[in-house]
Amino acid sequence: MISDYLLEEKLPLSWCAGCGNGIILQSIMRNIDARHWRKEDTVICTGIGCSGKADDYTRTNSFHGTHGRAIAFSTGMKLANPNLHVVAVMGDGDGITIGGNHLIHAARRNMDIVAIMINNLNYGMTGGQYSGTTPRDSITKTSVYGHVEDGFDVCGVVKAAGGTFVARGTVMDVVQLNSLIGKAMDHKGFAFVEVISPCPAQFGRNNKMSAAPAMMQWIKDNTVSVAKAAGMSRAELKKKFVTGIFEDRNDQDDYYTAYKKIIDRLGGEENE
Amino acid sequence: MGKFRFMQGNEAMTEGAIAAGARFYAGYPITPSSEVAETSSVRLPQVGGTYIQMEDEIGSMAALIGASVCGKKAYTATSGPGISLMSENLGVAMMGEVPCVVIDVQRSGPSTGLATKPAQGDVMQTRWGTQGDHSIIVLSPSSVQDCFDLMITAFNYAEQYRTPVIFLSEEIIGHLREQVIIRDPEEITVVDRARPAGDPKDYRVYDHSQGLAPLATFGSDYIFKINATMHDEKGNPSANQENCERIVRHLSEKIESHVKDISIVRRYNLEDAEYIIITYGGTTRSALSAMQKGRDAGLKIGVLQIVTLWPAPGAEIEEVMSSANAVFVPELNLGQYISEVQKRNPRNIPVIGINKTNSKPIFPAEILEKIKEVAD
Amino acid sequence: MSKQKEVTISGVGGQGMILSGTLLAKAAAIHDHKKATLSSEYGVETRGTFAKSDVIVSDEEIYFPDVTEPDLVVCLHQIAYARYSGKVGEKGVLIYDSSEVTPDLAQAGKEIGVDITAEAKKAGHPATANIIVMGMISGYLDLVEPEGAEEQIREFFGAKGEKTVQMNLVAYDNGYAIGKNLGQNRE
Repeated sequence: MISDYLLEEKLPLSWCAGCGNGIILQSIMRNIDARHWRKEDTVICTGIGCSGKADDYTRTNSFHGTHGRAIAFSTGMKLANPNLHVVAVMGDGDGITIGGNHLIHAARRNMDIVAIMINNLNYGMTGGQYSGTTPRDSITKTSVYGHVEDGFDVCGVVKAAGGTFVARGTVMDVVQLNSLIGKAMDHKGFAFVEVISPCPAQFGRNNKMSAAPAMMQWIKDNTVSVAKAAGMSRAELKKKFVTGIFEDRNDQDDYYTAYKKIIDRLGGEENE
Repeated sequence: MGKFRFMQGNEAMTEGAIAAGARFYAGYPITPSSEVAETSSVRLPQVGGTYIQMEDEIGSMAALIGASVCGKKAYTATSGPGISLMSENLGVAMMGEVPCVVIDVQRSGPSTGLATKPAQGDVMQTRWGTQGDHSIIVLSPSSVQDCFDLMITAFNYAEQYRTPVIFLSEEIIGHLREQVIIRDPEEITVVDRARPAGDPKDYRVYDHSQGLAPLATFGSDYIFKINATMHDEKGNPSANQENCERIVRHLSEKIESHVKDISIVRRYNLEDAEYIIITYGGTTRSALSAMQKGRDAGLKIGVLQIVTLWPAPGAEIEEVMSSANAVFVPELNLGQYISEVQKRNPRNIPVIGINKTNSKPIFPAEILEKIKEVAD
Repeated sequence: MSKQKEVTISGVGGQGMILSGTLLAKAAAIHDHKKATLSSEYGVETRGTFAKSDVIVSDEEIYFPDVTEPDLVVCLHQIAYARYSGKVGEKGVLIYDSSEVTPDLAQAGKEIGVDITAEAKKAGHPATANIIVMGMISGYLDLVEPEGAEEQIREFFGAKGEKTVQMNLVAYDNGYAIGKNLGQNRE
């Protein structure tokens, strides 16, 4: 089954031992398979970084562009062919740091794409520097004295920007992750899933969690469900990963549905 | 016969793009190009196309490329600051070999410069703006009619050579209003990109061994990978040295080996010309005016207008250099294109730059004055 | 008159100079089948700083689209007047709005004051000043045929209703009469 979607000749995956990217890629592919999306009608669009390797392994169409711009490339694809299934796979550098502008605007426009942001809390591929999601006090290659910034609550940002499906999972709960990505794929409109994923080789090594199990345990220990988080204070939630669905609404047309109404009103022929 | 209209250059660019079959625009408004965005937002949905105003020029260029790989002819319009922001993703179009047209209506620079004033400061940036070795096609209009006709050529080149094409105008022509014939479809030659035929399993998006590979469309029967990273013929990442060398050379050669077909120049009174003005874009109007006034005064002046700035039409420039007594190169910059002339000067004739960056166009009298200095 | 006629309409942003120029050039091109260009200069501010539009109408191809040897320069504001007064060349004439411009007495004789602001009010609305100017230019230089000018005014103002169209046609005619009169006096 999975070989229908993954290029076996490319395996094993190039990601480090203990990296969560393989789990996420598998979850994406299982969900595509479960929905019977034709590979011909599916595009995996990636940016740059460890997550940007995801398209190397897929049998679907893929587009490997520049750092942080996967959502912008995906926007053009979806508008040019609204029948395509466009899945942007990004890291935290792509998604919220260098590419944050595209993220919030795609959310605001309710662009009908699935955006998966793998959050490994740092720039893994370039050697472990801090990103826009690196937690305060963390040690990275560019914050050796301890990080003095807070990381983004990315789901909070996307929800505030108008995203109509917003969720967070971790690779430690694959059942939940599969469900969240599946729901995102079924959603008409901008669907965002942040996945907390371990990077033992960089973030872990710099923060006394170089063994993969230690980093995984740390994520697990700091994961709190949306329901449980509702009863916790802001201070208690600091540095916690709240998982679950933050937004799921269908009260707004996606961008192209709204734009198509203008085309129809003007009598233009679509795809002329 | 077409429709006789009186409109602005920027507006005619939109009409030209639509006539060429463009159905997607992504951009970010910037003076002096904004009328392209405005008219595109009106016209595209009328013909079933899509206009989107992106959050910045980086996203605009990305959306353009995304739309193009899904089969839409796509364009954007910007000015110098926007071209700077688009440069990285222009490289994606280059490396990914995705056709699209980028309009640059130049303003006075550098940096933010003077938004509403003309200049031709982006000539070298459009040639070399994106990193790494590559070749690019840049066309430069000198009339509102050009904004229509040449825009169709720009799309045709983009489709034919699977490459981004830059339509390099400036405030002079972008904002100029004059008559234009909006030609009927049957008067226009529109080139569409080659599509693959045959078994989808055998399709190789970057296999150029049998001539330029056709570009399939996402959503068709052909599954493929577009890759802005160094890739093999299937679009898989590849660091193979032979492959790297082949790809980089290919990106240059696919353009440079067709210079003859891509070059467009216009010759005015060159037959007996002793003094030849080599010019491009809106400055052509100044040159032609100077030629006319000079001829009235008995000076044998000719004009070679370079329409295809890049790749530089070397043979046509050399031809002029073999016959002229002196050559004059007026530019609204400090001398960006003159080196293309200087390096084709075996007879070592005087090559005189007429340069201006004070936000005003070059006046015909300023060119004529220089010619008179040499002629006397 | 030479085959090519060059006019500059100058003032500050917001006075509608591009509209007057465009309608004239369009009438010349579309109705009279002449060559015509309109180029403009303006600042980044939409209102209040120097702006001008250059109209050229010719029987032949127009190369350089900016006015270099004006037949007429119209100044609707002191800022514009300061730029052009005394600099309109041998054949050029400067007409200024006497409500807006305090003229340089040294130029008397070479320059003509017309109370364009008052004429606009007379026509029905101060905003018709640019159409007064349009008519005045056409009358003075015999630039475009009246039918073509009317066609352009109807096309542009049509959406705003017949009342607005009529008001602007009156403005054009009034301007035209003023221009014609000035032109005849000059000859």
